[in-house]
Amino acid sequence: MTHVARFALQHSRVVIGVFLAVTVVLAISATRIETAAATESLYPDDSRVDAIAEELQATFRHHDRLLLVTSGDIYSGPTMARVAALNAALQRLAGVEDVTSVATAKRMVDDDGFLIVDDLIPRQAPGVEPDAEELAAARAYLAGSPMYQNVTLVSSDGRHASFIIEMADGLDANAFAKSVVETVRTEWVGEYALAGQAFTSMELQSIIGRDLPVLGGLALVVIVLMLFLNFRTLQGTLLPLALILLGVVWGMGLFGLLGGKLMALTVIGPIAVMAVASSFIINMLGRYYFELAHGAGKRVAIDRMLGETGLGVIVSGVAISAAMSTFMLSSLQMVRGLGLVALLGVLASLLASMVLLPALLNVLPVPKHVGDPENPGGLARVLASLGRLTTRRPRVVVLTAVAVVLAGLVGVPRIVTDTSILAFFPEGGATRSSVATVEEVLGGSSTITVWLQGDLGDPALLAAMEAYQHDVANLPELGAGQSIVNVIRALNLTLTGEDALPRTREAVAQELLLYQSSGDVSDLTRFMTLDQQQGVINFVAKSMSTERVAAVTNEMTRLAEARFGDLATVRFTGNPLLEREIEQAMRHDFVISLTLAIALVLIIDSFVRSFRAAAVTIIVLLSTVALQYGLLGWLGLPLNLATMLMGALAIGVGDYAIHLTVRYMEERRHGRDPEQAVMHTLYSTGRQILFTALTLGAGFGALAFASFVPVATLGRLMLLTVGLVGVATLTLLPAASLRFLRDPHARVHLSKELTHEEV
Amino acid sequence: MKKSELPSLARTTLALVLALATVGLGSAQKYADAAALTAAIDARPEPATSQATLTMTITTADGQTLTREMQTWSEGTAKRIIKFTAPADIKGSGFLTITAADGSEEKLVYLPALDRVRRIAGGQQGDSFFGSDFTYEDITGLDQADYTHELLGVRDGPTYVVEAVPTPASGSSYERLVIEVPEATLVPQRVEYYRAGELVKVLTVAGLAEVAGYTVATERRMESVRDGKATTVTVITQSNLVLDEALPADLFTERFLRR
Repeated sequence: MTHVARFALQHSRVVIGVFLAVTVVLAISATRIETAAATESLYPDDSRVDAIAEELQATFRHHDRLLLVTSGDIYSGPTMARVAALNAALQRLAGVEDVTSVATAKRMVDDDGFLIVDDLIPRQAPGVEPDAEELAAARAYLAGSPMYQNVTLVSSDGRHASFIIEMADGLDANAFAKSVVETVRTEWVGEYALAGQAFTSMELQSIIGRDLPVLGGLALVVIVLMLFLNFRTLQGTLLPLALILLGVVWGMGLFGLLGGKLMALTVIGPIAVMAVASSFIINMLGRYYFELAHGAGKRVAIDRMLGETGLGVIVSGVAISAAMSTFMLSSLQMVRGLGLVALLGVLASLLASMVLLPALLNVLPVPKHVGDPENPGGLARVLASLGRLTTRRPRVVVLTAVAVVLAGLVGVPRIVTDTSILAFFPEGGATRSSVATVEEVLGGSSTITVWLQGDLGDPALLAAMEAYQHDVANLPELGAGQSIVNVIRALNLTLTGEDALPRTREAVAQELLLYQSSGDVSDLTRFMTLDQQQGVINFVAKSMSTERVAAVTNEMTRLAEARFGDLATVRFTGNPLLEREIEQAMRHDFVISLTLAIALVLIIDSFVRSFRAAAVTIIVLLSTVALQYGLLGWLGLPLNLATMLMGALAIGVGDYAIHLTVRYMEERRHGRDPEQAVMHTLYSTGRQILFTALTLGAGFGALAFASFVPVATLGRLMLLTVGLVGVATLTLLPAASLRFLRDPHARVHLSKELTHEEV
Repeated sequence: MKKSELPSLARTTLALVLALATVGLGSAQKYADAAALTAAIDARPEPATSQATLTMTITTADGQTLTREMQTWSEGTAKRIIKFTAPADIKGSGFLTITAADGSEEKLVYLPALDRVRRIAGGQQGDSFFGSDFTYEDITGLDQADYTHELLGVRDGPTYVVEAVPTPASGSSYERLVIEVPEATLVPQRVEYYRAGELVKVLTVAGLAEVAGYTVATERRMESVRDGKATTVTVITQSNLVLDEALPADLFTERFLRR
């Protein structure tokens, strides 16, 4: 530390120049970071469901779908002509594999011995509209044919038409969805709604593009305000501001250089960096101003800032970095990205606090009026009261805290997990409204696919599939299934007049052979392989919580076992199941990151200070975390991708509490009895701890205004958490120190000439 | 060498397509222009009747296969009957096509499980031939008057490369065809099919054999193409070929179709 300080002080302008140059380079890199909005970026790396989906896609040429619902008087000639025109325009779009709508629907007709598979709405010459008779026939066919029994191409009231748009593989989903929106706006006069993965990708990117600058700016403004209130000088405000910005720019710039992409959770990273960097600087600059206020010269003040407070900040910085780095073990790409941004930004802030800050202070003049940051001012009475409370009734304080934490813990089992992608968007917002409209018309906005392997030429298996479709359709979140059974039943009805499945294997095979000679083979191969050994049933699914997804898939599995027995083996895939996988990965990450964060912070703190001091501090933090998650349960807030991070975040950013422990130990070493040490510690460090908490809270509180719902929830809870850590640090920690840390032994002793007492 | 009689796109279409070719050829080739080439093909005698066993194998991009076997009989280009012999669940199913003198076509399908003969709607040339990559148009071909032609060039061999563009009145599902014909056999070895400017299918004719004095293609391979990549492939091989043998008088009837 001495060498670094000496170098920074001897070559201050060089150091400033180098930091400035690197910052410019990294700022350029930061502006070039791409956005990864695709919802695939949410899925775990080793997703089993996604692997099945890809296999399924290759086998049945299934594609990701964008669902469109347009509103109007669909069964009128002009509107149906517009449906056809929109269908054609969508079909012409780059990346469109297929569009299914009433305009592409087919009808099977037995016309005097001819099997005709023809367009449901006869194709018209340009400018010609279908007549009322054709439309009435189409309406009747859609209502009666088993082929369309389970697919809503036009709502029963005739007010909505649906378009299922299949996308080519490897498309930029966001750009694709935008091109669809533009086409719809051009071709359709009236309301419309979209749903599907590409739509949510587009909406996600919109959120990411909006949240990062807005929330970053808001956090910065509030942090600067807190800094000004703390230091009350221009230098005390602008210097931290520069260093905070540097931490963010370096973090984002390095993230960009390492190939990182912006995702919905990435916004947490820069804001965490701002909050942490400001806490570093409050401590460092506070010490500097403290030394100046007590008569030290500039050089001596910088030396003491680095020598005494610097060590504490380094330990905190390393501990926070360790806590942030635990996110990088996640199997979820967006959590790893957040961890990397935060880690790089915190390390950059630490480096800037240790090297750039002394260099800047060295070249800048000393402010004319310097307040003593350890002078509690108006807070003196409050801090003195806290000191009396904790010294006179430490057991009451500890027991009260234990009772509060236990009450909180009762809420933990009530926690509901939810990683459904729709829950990322605000209730009542445009995204949810659009999806709700689509779900109202189509009965759902995503698909759960049941993949069967068996002899699909066997009428027994076909009958079992039909029964299974009926069973599953009774689940409230799922609509009717669509499979080869619907095609065969419609075919059999047309050919024999019997509304039932064919009874023999030969009848099944020969009816399908006839269909192949008259209709489109892809009508069959989208549901069944050529060798008839594999088939799919697609169930339209409403948005639901991941807990409900678990219940639904369990029920679907049970029903499949009951219906298919030895006739077929089944596998499941679909976006709702992927969301459940996210939840499982999230639970795993939650345990790993929180455990590792606790262990690493404990190890790092105890290595430099003392195990007992670190343990007492971290127990206080853990109590806060327990209360935090308990509140999640009590308030009915879901554990999601963002809120699962708050434990490790709290352990990391809450490490400022150790500053109180360190000061207490210092007081004890200088001969004060425990109660006196606590009183003095609270009086001298209380203001700094309070402002650190306020600044951290200001930073994380900005997240509460995020459009991405999990981040907004995290922001609100982190605001609460930082407040709880602040309260616990000023009450529980002193009381716990009196109970469990009466005779502390520091591993590293501060050098005598730098101690507070002698200053 | 006599020309083979096959129910194939390759021979039928080519004979029609080349008739109107007009572009002059280099001095090395035997036929100075497409018209001369077509005349040479047309001059070759055709068998009056043919009988063969066909094996049709459809293979998807991910390797799924479906194999069907059938027995075929034809008389000229006007009458053709196909009876499926395998797999067992479609055995006995049959397909009869009769083209009347006025060019109208009747297609009948018999399905033993339903014990009914059904007509297949005409006018859908682009429909798949029983789920294969061949369409009815590929199987039966169009009249020569349905195309306009251009000789694109002559390759080593020599092999003639001809573009055939269907007329609007033809009802063809294709925009154009590009056909390669070796001079030595006058049997097309490759045909490319285009729709909306995109290559959609490629036919390759392989395994030429001499049967009763006719040159016969024993294997035809049709690949459907999307974005330059093969998606599904249908290979039709023919064996047990018998040419110019008298066929029973009631062969091309609904009664035989049911038998």
